[in-house]
Amino acid sequence: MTDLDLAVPLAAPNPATTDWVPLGATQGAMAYGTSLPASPLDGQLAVLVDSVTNPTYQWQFRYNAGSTSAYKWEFVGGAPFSAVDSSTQALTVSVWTGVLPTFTLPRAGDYVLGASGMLRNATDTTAQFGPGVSAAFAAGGGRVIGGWDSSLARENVRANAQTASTVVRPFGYAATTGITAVNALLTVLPVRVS
Amino acid sequence: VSLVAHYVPNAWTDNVTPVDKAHMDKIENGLVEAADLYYLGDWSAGTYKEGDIVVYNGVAYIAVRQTSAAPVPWPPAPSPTVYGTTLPASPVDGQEAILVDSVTNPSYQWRFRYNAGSSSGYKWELVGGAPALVPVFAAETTTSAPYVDLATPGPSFTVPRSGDYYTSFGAQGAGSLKGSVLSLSCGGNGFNWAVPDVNYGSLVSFSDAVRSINASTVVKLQYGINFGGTGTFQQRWLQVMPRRVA
Repeated sequence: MTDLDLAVPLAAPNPATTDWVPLGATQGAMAYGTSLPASPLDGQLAVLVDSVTNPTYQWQFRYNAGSTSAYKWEFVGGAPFSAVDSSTQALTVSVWTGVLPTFTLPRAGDYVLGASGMLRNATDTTAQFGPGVSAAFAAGGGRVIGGWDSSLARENVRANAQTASTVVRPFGYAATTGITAVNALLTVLPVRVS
Repeated sequence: VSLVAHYVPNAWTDNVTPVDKAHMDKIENGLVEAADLYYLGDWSAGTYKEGDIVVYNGVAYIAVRQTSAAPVPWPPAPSPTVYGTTLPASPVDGQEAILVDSVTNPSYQWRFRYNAGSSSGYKWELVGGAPALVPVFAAETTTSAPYVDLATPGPSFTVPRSGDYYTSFGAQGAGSLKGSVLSLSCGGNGFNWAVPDVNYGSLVSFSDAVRSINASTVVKLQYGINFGGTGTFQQRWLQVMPRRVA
């Protein structure tokens, strides 16, 4: 290279199979897809989506090779996944039961979950409601909505060390029959993933 | 690496091929061709040789061998964005930086962009990240009317930089006396709700207005109950997100 200096990234392509060499930093080539790069560099950015043609979320991550956590892709940008189910959903008596909507975690990691909704009680009784990854997780919250009319509930929790493909949803618990959840809302935001 | 030039050698045959102008010109032209770079504008389908420079998808490329293939983007360099427990001391307009509480095991990552033209003292503006969410699940009681800590104080969060912050928080509260009023305070801003019946739990949440908070301020939930009885609070949570910081 006697005529000019060439820009060489840290992971240089194989010269034996390279026809073209860029003359400057590659622009606008940040990974964007339904998975994150398999062999990332420290500080690399990537955008994770559920669909490249019609995504419902776009989450930007930065790879922190120095993290002691297994979840080295750290969330640095994007809006929460959010979905609402406007139907009236009956809660099962004395059992924590998942209701709609749902969300499947795309990667193992730590997440912030939110759920809100209106609980309608036909009688003077108690119901509980909150986001969860399982009935046991939701039950651990013990979120109580009291009264015999309508109550609004909203709860945010951090769900750490979740496995990929875990299904997240609002959960409800009813002490007696006749309790329904309406306009159940679920929000999900990653904190860091693998 | 064997670089293939566009030059095609003469087919010399001893005592047959003349060393004349045509053959020597071809050699000289080949030397010139091999030594120079040629800017050819936008890439289009065709055959390119070593030294040809084209623009493809907004990036200039130089051919290092004869090829008819289109340029392939190289992997991008890692983000030059600063990442650390502090923000750059002398930023330039538009610079981005990521603020964390720990570089080895962060609980939040907040990405800021420096807006030198802002008339605010808080010129680092949040452009990405998840809120800090701090829970305290324990069910604990108080009979105090003024706001107090419970046996397990908090949840709390120490603000890392002076700035404007969104806070939201909530808890499940119950009172032992119907008609008493439960109180929840976040950083001194209080909210009250009535106890509908004895030991009936109510799940409440509040979103505070954006407030200017000084660096190192501890934002903490505290609790109280008015008009008698014992208040029980559990499933307490505090969520903090900056809007812009110094």
